[in-house]
Amino acid sequence: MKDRLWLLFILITVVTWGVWGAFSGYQIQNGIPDTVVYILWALSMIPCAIVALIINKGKFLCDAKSALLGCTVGLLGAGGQLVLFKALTLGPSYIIYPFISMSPVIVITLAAIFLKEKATRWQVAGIVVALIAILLLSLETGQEGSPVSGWLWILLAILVLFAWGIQGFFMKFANNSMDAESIFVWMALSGLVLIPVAWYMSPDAATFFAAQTSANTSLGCFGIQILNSIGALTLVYAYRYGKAVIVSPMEGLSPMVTVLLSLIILSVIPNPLQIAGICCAAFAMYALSK
Amino acid sequence: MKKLFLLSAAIVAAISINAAVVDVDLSKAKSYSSAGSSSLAYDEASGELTVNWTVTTGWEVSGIQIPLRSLTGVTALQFEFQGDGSATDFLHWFTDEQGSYWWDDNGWYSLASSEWQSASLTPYKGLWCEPSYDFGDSPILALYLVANPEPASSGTFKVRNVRIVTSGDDPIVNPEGQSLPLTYNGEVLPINTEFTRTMIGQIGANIAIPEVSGIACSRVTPGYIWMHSDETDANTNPFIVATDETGSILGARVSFDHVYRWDWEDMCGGVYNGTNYLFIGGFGDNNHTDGEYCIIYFEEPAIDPANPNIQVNAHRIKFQYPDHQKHNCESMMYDNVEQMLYIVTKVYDNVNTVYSLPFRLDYGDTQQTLTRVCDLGVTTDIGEGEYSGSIHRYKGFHLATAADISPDGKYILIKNHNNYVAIYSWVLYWERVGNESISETLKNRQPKVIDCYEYEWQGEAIAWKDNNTFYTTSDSDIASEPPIYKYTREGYESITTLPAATENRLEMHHNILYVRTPNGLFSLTGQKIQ
Repeated sequence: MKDRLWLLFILITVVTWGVWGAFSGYQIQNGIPDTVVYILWALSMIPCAIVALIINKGKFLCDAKSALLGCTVGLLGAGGQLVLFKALTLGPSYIIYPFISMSPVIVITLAAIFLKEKATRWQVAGIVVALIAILLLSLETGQEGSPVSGWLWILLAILVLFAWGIQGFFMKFANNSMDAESIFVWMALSGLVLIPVAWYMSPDAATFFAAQTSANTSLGCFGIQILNSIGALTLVYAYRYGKAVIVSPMEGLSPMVTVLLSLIILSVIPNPLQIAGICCAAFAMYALSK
Repeated sequence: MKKLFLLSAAIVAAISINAAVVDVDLSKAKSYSSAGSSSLAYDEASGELTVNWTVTTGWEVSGIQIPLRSLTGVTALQFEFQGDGSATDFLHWFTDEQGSYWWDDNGWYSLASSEWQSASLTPYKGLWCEPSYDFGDSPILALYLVANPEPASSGTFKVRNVRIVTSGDDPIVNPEGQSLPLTYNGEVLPINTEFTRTMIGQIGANIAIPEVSGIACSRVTPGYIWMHSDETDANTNPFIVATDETGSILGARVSFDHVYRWDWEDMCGGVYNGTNYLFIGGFGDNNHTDGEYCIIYFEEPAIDPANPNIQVNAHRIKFQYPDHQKHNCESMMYDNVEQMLYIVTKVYDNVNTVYSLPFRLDYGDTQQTLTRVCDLGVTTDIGEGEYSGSIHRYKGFHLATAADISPDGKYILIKNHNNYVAIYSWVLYWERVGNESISETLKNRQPKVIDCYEYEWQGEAIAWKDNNTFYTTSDSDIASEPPIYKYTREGYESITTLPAATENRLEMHHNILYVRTPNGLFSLTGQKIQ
């Protein structure tokens, strides 16, 4: 059973992130700036970190090595998110998002080289098809074009790609020497440390929180971000029990859940690319879990 | 000769100074119908107003009203109109300061021709000048151009170049636009432009509920609207119904195990200690003769259209007013935050008074005394015209007939109705700030006027569906199938009203999935984004 725990945890991540994706429009509806979403996400990590500490009976590794590894994982993830905000102000989202969705390629490469992780033929096929699925499910449709400013956005997008790829690698690497709960607490602390950066990235956050209506809206957004944080916690557990080369491509399949929810609840038929993405994702999950 | 020339010039100059022609801004026109409906389309380029009208009962009226400030010194009304080829008559009306209808002694203009025609009319004190016509004694500020068919029918007419010739007194067109300016503490109330109005249905004859006087949106079975009647064989057989939001499907017909006081005037829903209740106000007292008032309450039943007949065990709270006087009341609302009932009296001047009562289940048969909260001191800046024998002075927000508080306790609506003057009908909107009580909000906050409110004949019902959507309907005769209007805050249109799912598709923008529909872009939780 223990050797299948990774599958249970990554499925929880995929489902919680898929449901979280269905509620992501809340941010747009209520005019919540990206930086505020970041702040609320970082705060939503706190209750999950407390749960992690309770699970770990209060044990929290704060030696130098654990701190370094934990902060590396946390800062790469949270820092990558802030860099992404900047990239999106300069470049087209319909290129940036599909591009950074390929971060599992980095994880797989690093894990194969440095951790000597191997995969069966089925799993190799699963990895390839999963990457195709991730790409298909991240393609933007109905775009009317976004303004493009210079070339810096390309550099920033590459930075995000590598930050999140390296984060996945370090998440697995750190799990080899420390417990998952401590990794998650360090991730939460790193996210909180970067709140001032998010605050000063744009004046939108200050303006938003000054508005009278911000309290209820923030609470709603915080509740939605809790789903994101739960998914992050179970992702760390998935890396603890599973190979990075397998877990990494699977974590990117959460949009499949969002599309399926739309189909089941709203009866909205996905477009052909999304249907192809779902088919690929279904095959990939089957192949990767074999 | 020179003296004669100077005299002529002086006369011409005097005439020029005293006479004034005021162009009426047709974009400010409001639709009006006493039995039926009318919808307006104003073309800014041509200045033409197209009026699509329906009158369901002969000799009723349907057309437009235009807000005017005063009719003092009016000597003529000029306009151009175009019929639609039907043989229906077209009648122009306007009203004078004494609340009487005036019309031209030439009377009628035919819509039989589809050519543009000119009309120039002079005021004439007509048939309906007797004080029994209850239009109040303040200056009536509406101009009517009304189709008045016999028998009932429908059609279209256009008007343009409406001008009023005065003897030189103050301009008469209301400068504030489509609604009369209401003031609060000396300041003109701001307009709330957040909402858009759509007519989503009509209360069908099959629902068999005459004169809907109060509505409440179901919290137990979302998608249904509870309605009670102002007039049934109630003393022996009181009931309420629930319909779907189009008013065409009967969801429930609830009868009661007790027959409590009749003259029900409003209803609302609310949550008390986790349970959904419906409240009905048994407090109508038009003639101030009753004096025994109550609020009836019961747990909101689930709605199953397959089994619509339900009987409930209802209770009542008997109450009296703190001044021990008799009052007429037609508005009630419940605050989920404070678990408090609020009622608003209905009076003809601007002193509608708000009272409160904490909701509890253990009042038993003991008469409770309401707490006075405040007067709704919302006034207009119009003068007080007098009419001998009349006691009605519409000085402001008068005749409150419906109220509701949003489920989150944040937004308050109170509406009135004036059957004869569309521009005297308003929906007021308050926003609660922080943790203040509803009483504090009503006492201290300036309300806004919902700009897109559609006048309804006998419009006595309003209810929040959720925190961003509310409905209104009226207690018109069931034969006229009163419309149900939905008012949606911008950006919050519900996906449940969208076309068939096959027309919708998923779109990814900025890594977020949305549903693209013919009506716009929606989030997956059903909120309109674009």
